Amino acid sequence: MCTRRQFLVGSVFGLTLADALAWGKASRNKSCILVWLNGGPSHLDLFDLKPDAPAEIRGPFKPGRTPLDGVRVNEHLPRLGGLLDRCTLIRSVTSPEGNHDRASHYMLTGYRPTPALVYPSFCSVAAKEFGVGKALPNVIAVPTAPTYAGAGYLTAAFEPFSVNSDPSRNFKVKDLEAPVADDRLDRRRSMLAAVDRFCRSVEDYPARDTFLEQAFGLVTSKEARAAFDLSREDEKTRHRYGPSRAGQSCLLARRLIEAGARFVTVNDDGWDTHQDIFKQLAGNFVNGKYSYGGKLPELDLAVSALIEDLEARGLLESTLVIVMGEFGRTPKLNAIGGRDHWPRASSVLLAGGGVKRGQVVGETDPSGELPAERPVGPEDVLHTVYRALGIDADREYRTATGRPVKVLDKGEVIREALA
Amino acid sequence: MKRIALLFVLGIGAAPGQDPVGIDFPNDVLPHLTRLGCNAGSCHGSATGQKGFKLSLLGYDAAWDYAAITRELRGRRVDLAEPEKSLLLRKPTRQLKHGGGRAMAEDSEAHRVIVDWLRAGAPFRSARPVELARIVAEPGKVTAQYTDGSTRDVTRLALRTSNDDAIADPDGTVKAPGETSIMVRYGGQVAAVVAGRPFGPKVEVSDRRNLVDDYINDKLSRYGLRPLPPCDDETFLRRATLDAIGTLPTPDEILAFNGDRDALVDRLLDRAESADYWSGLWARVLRATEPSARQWVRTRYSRPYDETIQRLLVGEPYLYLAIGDPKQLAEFVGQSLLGARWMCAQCHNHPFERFSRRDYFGVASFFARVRVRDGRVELEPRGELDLDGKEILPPFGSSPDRREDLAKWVTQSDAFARAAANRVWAILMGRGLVEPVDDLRTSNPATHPELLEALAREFRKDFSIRNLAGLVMKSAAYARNSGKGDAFYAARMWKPLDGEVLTNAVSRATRQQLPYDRVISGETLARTLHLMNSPEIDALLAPDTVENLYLRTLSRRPTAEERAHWTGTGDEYRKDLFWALLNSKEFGTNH
Repeated sequence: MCTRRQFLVGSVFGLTLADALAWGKASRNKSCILVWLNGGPSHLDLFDLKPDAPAEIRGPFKPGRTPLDGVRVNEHLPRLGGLLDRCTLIRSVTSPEGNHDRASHYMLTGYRPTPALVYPSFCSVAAKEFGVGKALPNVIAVPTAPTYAGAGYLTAAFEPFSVNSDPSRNFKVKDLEAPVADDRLDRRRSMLAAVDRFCRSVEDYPARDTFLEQAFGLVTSKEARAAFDLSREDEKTRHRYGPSRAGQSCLLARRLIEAGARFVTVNDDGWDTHQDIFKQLAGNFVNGKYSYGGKLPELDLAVSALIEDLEARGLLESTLVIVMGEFGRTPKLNAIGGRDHWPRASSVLLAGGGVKRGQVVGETDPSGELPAERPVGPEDVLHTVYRALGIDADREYRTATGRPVKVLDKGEVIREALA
Repeated sequence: MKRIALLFVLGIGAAPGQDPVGIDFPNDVLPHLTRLGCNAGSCHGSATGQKGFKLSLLGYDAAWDYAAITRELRGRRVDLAEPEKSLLLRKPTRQLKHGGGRAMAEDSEAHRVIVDWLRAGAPFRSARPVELARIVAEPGKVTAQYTDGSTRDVTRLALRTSNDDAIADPDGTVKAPGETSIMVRYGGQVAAVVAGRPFGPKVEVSDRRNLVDDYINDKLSRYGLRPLPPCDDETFLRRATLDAIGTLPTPDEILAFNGDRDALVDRLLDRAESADYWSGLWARVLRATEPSARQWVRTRYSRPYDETIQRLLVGEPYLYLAIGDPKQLAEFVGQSLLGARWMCAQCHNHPFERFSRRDYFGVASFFARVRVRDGRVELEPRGELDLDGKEILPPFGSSPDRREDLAKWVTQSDAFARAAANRVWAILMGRGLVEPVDDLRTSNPATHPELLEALAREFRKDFSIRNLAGLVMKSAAYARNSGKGDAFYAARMWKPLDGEVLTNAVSRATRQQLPYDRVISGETLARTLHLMNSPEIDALLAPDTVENLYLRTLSRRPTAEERAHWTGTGDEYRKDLFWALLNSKEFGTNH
C-alpha cells in the first residue's frame, strides 16, 4: 500500500521511494534569501566601522562587540552582531560601478552592464536551475524585485514573482484569492477550457498554459496561500522581526522558504543616505533602547530574527542568507551630513547554506576607502553564492540571438567563505 | 569540384599563402588563430586575455596580435631556430599545459602554416605584400580579393558561423528546409551568405494587394510555401484596430463594418487614438520617458520623421537631459535611429561590422561640446573627446553647432529610413525583417532585403510613419490567417497583447476605463493571476447575452458550435462566461 503521491513518483519517474526522499532532501539544500539593501548601505556605518579615523570619516557611531575576537560592528546592530559566529562577513568587495542601476546590474548578475544585453540576475538563474515551482512559485520578490533582479535575456518564465505588497502595511498579495467560491472557480475553469478549445486562431501557446496551471495551483492550494498569510504568525514572533518593512518581509521570506519556495528576495528601501545619514540610520535610538525609526534597528531585528528562526527550525544549513546592496558609501561625510555613492569598498554578509561560521574575509584600509586585503569583485561574491547553492557557474546559456553566454565568465569562488 | 576550384584560384595572381616565402601574418597566420577560436571573447580575445596572453578580439588588430606573439615574453612565444618548440605551438597542441585544452593538432594545416611562417622568419608582411580589399561569400565558398587584383580561395581559412545550426552548417551544408545566413569572417572583414532550401516544389502565389506582396510572394513561391488564406472580416477588424489604435473595436463598429479593408485602415490610422498609440510606441524608441517628452513626441507624430529627428538632435532638450554623456548619445544615434549597435566599439572594434573605435568616438565627438546646466542645454565654445590620448574631431561637417551636421547625415542616410521601416514592420508583423530590430548589419541580413529597401524607399517619400504603417496593413501578407508565424510570412504571427493594450482591451470589454496596472505588463504569472482574480475586474463582469459577450471580448459573433455549447442561463452563468472569455488565449492575443 502506498500513497498516491508515492505511487506517482515511483511510476512516472521510475524512482524508488528512497530516491524521492533523497531528492527532497537535496532540494532542501538549496534555498536562498537575499536581503537587498536598495540604495547602497554605508559599509562604514554597518559592518566596517573606523573608530580610529578622523571625525569626518568615522562619524558618531560607536563600535559594538561581536562574538568574534577583535571584530566589531555598529553598536546599533547588537543582535545581528551577536550572530556573527554564524556568518561570514566579507569586508573587501570592490567595484567600479557607482550608478544605482549599473551597480545593481553588476552585483545581481555578476556582469558589468552593457547596452547590448541584460544579463539574468542570480535570482533568475536560480529559477532556471531549480525549475518552476508547482503550487508556490519558486522565486519570489518581496514586495517587488530590485532593478536588474529579473530574468534578463532568459524567458519571462524565470522572472521572480513579485508579491507587490508591503508585508508591514495591510499586507495582501494581489489577486491570490479567487473572487468566487471553489465550486464556481471549477466551473469557470472548465468554461475557460471550452472557450480555448473553440479558439482556432491561437492553437499552441505553452507559456500561457504554464502560467495558467501555476495560477490555478496557487489559487487552489491552501498551503501555498497560507504561506503568504502573515497573520498566522503569533504576535510575539511578528514583534521579534520588528514592525518594519524589512522585518515583516524577512518573516514572510522565512514562511515562504518553509513552505517550499527556493529563492526569496527581500527588497528593502531607504539606504541611499545622501543626507542626515546618522538620523536615517539610527532613528531615535537612545540609551540602548529601540525605536523603530532607524534603518539599523530595523535591519538588526529583521535579519537576526530571520537567522535565529531558520536555525531553530533546522533550516539554516539549507538556506543561504545574503545581506548586501549595490555599493558602499563615501568615507568622507558630505556637507549635508550624508555619504554619497562609493563602489570601491562595500561589505557583504553571508549566513547559513554552507557558509563558514565566524569568518571575516578581507579588510579595507584605515579610511574605509579601498580594500587593503583580499579584494573581491561582485563576480567573486556570486561565484561563492552559486557554489553554496549548488549551481554550476560555468554553465552556458544562449541569448535570444543564439549567442552562448556563461552564467559567470569572470571571478572565482571565495573559498574561505565556504565551510 | 571544390578541389578544382581551389586549384584554379591558386593558379592566378600573386596571392599570399602559396609558398613559405609568401606567407604573411595577417593573411595566413592570423586567420588560423581566429578559426581555431584562440582570439574568441572567451579565450585570449577577452578584454584581459588569458594568463597574460591577450589577442585582439577575433583578430581585428593584426599589428597588436603580431606584437603580442613575437615581442612579448621577450619573444619566448616564438622560436625561430626551432619553430616546433615555440610556445605558440606547444601550448595549443598541449605539449605544455594549456587552459584552453588541445586547440590545435600537430598534423593540422594551421600547425604547418605556422611552422612555415616561423621558418620564414616570422615576418609581419610577406616578400610580396598585398592588402585585403574585400571578401566575397558564396554558399560553401569564401574568396578574398586583394588590392592588386589577385584573388584567393580562403574557404578553409575563414571563420564561418551559422545563424541557425538547425538549418545549415557553417560550411553551407543545408540540413533542413528553410533559410538562414552564415556569417563569414576573414582578415578583419565580415560578410554574410544566405543558405537554405525549399520546403517543396515551386508554387504559384497570387495573393497580391500591394508592392509588399511582390517580395513576400516571390520568396514563398521559391520556397514552395503556400500561404494561409486571408482572414475573415471580423478578425481583420480586430487585428487592424488593435494595431492602429491599441484597443478593441466596439460591438457597433464590428456590426457596421462593410468589409472595405483599405478604407478601414485609413480611417483607423487617421484617428487621434492612433497618433496617441503610435507616438507612445515611438516615445520608447526615442527614450522619451518624461510626460513632457512624450507630449513632444505626440505633437511631432503627424510631422515628417526626418524633421522630427533633426529637431530632436538640435533644439529639443529632453534627449540631452535624459542622456548626458557624448558616448551614450552616440550609442543612441546608432541603436535607436540607425539600427546599429555601436556600443561594442567603445572598447574594441565591432566584432561583426566594419565599425571601429575611431568611428565610435567620431560620432560621439559631435556631442563633445553639449552641456546641460540648470536644466538647459548649452554649447561650450571648445572641448574635444580624446581616445588613447589623441583628440578626436568629427569626421565631417563645419557647422558651428556640430549637431546640425550629424542630424543631416543621420536623417539622409539609408540606414535611417531602413531602421524606421524595420521597426514599423516589426510592430505590425510581430517580428522585424531584421532581428533584433536595432541590429542591422551586413552580417545579420534581412529575411527579405529587397522588401526592406522598398519599404525604406517608400518611407523616404514623405517620412510618414502613419503612411508606412498603412502600406503594410493594406498588404495581403498582413491580412492572412494567423499561425505561429514563420520567417516567410506564410501565416500571420499572433502575439500576446502588450500591457497597455491589454488594459485598453479589458476596459473596452467591460465598458469601464481601468487604470494601467503594471502587474499586467509582460507575460507573467502576476498578469495571469490578475486577469483571473482581480476583484476590480470581477466587479465589472456584468451579465450579457452570449452574442454580446463574444462581440465585446473576442470581437466576433459566436460560431454555431459555440452558440450550441453555451446553453446555460442565469446571471451567474453569463458572468462566468464573461470571465472565461477575458481569460482566454483568444482574448489575450492579437491574432
